Amino acid sequence: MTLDLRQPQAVDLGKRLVARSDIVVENYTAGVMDKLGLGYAALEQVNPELIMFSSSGYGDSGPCSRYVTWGPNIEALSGLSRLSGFPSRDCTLTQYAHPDAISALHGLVAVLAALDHRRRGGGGQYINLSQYEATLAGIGHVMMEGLALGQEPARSGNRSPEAAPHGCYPCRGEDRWCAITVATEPEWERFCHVLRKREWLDDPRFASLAARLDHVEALDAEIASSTRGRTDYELMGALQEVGIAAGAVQNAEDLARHDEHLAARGFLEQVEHVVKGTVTATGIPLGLTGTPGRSGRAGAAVGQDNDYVFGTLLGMTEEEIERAIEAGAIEPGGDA
Amino acid sequence: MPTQPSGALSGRRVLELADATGAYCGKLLADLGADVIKLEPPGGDPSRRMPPGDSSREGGEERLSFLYMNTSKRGVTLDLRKPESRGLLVELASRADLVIETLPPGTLDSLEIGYESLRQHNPRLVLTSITGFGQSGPHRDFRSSDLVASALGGAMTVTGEEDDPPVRLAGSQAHVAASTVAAVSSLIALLASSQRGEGQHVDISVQEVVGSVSHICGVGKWLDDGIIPKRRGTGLFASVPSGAYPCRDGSVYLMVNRPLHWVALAQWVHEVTGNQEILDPMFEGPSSSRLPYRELLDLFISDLMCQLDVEEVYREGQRRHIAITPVNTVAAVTADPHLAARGFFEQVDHPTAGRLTYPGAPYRHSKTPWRIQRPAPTPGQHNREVYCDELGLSEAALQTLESKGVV
Repeated sequence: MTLDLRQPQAVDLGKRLVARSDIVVENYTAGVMDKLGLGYAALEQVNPELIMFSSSGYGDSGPCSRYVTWGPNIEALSGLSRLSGFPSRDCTLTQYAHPDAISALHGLVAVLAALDHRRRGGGGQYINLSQYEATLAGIGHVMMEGLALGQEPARSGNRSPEAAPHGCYPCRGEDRWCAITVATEPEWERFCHVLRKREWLDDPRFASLAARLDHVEALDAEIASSTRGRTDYELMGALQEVGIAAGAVQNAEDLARHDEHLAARGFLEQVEHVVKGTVTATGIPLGLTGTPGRSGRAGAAVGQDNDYVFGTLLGMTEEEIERAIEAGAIEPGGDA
Repeated sequence: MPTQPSGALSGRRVLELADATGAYCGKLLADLGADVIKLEPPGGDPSRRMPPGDSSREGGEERLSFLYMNTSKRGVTLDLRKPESRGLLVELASRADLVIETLPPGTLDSLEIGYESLRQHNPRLVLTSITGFGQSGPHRDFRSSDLVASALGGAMTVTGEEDDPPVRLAGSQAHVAASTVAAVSSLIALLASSQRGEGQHVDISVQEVVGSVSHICGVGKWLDDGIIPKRRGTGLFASVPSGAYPCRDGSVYLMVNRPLHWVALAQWVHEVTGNQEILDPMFEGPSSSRLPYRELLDLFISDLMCQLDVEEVYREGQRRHIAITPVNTVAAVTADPHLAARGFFEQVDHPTAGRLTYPGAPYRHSKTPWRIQRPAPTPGQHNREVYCDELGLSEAALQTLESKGVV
């Protein structure tokens, strides 16, 4: 649906929608909703049971509350990019703006908890989320190290202080890799068998977890020279067969074509798109076996549901909708 | 002592049988006021202990990550392998709204405390299981880890530099994301249970969560344009310019996604470096119009950045409404005046670890404030409170269980 909130009539229509809604979610820059006359103080008058959720880069208070950010900015700002990756690199980022998803998920927790409180008679409330702070909360356990010890946590790439081998090893083919975690001494023994390197079991450099951690460069180099001749999925299968955590580094094509497990679980969804028809999309990982929802459709065209929202929900006549369009409050529905 | 009735979830009772995979789920609910009882094997969860090679903090017995991940919870011990434990667990689950668990699929069933058994005693119960691959499918019994889930879910292939191996994010982000999704699903299931009078089993697969979190680089994109997203350093494929740029004393992250942001940036580069070429209208408009010139424009921008300190670039860039942020260290985050003004960090006293600074609220509720209700429990700290005061066990019965190693 479309509403030009700079038009007074649109603000009025917005309030009528809020009056019959449970939740308002918005992520304008802090202060914009207030300026539009749609801040929580105004909306609470219309609907005391309303739960309003606002999300912005820095939250709605503090000296930087109006700063401009995108997901990758938050990845850098929170320290996540400098904490992640190989020691040789200054910082490491995802291509998928990790904080966007993390912030949205934290927002869902906050809203659902508020709904639970409301269900028990607690009424509505306002929730503010800073994407910076939500991302920090998700790496709080790493932050604590810096806070308590007064030193920067080391960048350790794919390694772990709790397990070795613990890494991403090259396999046959271009950009093919297998991630492996060997968690215990019995697993290390089985690992050496699968890699046909029984001599490692007699090597004093690899005799214990502490020894392997001390010689981790040599360990990883020797494993890599051994895994290069095998395919990622074959190696993954052979290691999982003996109870060792291993997984191919899957890309988008692999997820759609090669992952029999995701296929068997029906994780990918077929969703209707207004222009493209039926499309395959990443599924929703909520796992609600008793009340399984699914994605109804993939997005919508601009104003596609104007008639439903203004006609059916608000009970406006066609003439009223037409006048609102002429006044510029509603933009007519168009193509995607 | 029940938790104070201030949080949004106060009154909700949760039983947590989770290792480091799912501890964050319990923390999210506990900091919102739910009474979360963390059930550990006698002696405490292995995630309490320092890994070898990790420098132990002086005087602190508990691992810092454990302290953070388990705030606001109460702690009891119970050895699920002992037959006497089953009755106690059923009793605890009967009084709970939600059980969170991270055991391998089928483990609870084999102990006769699976969803079907527990619902006999408490039909409204929600059981949330968090495992690497979920409760069904050919890989159900496969082993997983944060690293393996990040690989199989599709996140690692698009993280880091093109010339490097794929790499995971710091801080077990696959497990953190899965725990957060588990909290979302648990709350939805609790609301549904309140309406329907019937709980359900929630089946969280860490692999699926990773696939969902990284979905903009996933199957939809590939099926749409035939391009397999890969690692490509710090810049994003579709945003020009974007990426980390070195300054005199560190780096900043810059991202231009709107035509107006480009105009502001080009003007700034021009003012400081005298560059005329960057004002060429051919560079204006959406990122797609700058796509062929990414490397050239990066050179122009670097001419500006390398003359200035991070702080100057950050403040002046934001004054010009350009999305520029520092590439922060933990020390810089800790000292950020914005976070100080918002009172983000919290001081928490712990009986053995002492007073430490903790990262605080991920969200702020106007009526039901988020709060660290109590420090992480020591092993079995609340055994007497829970088993005797709440379940009604006698002191003698508790001592018998202790001597048998059940608690």
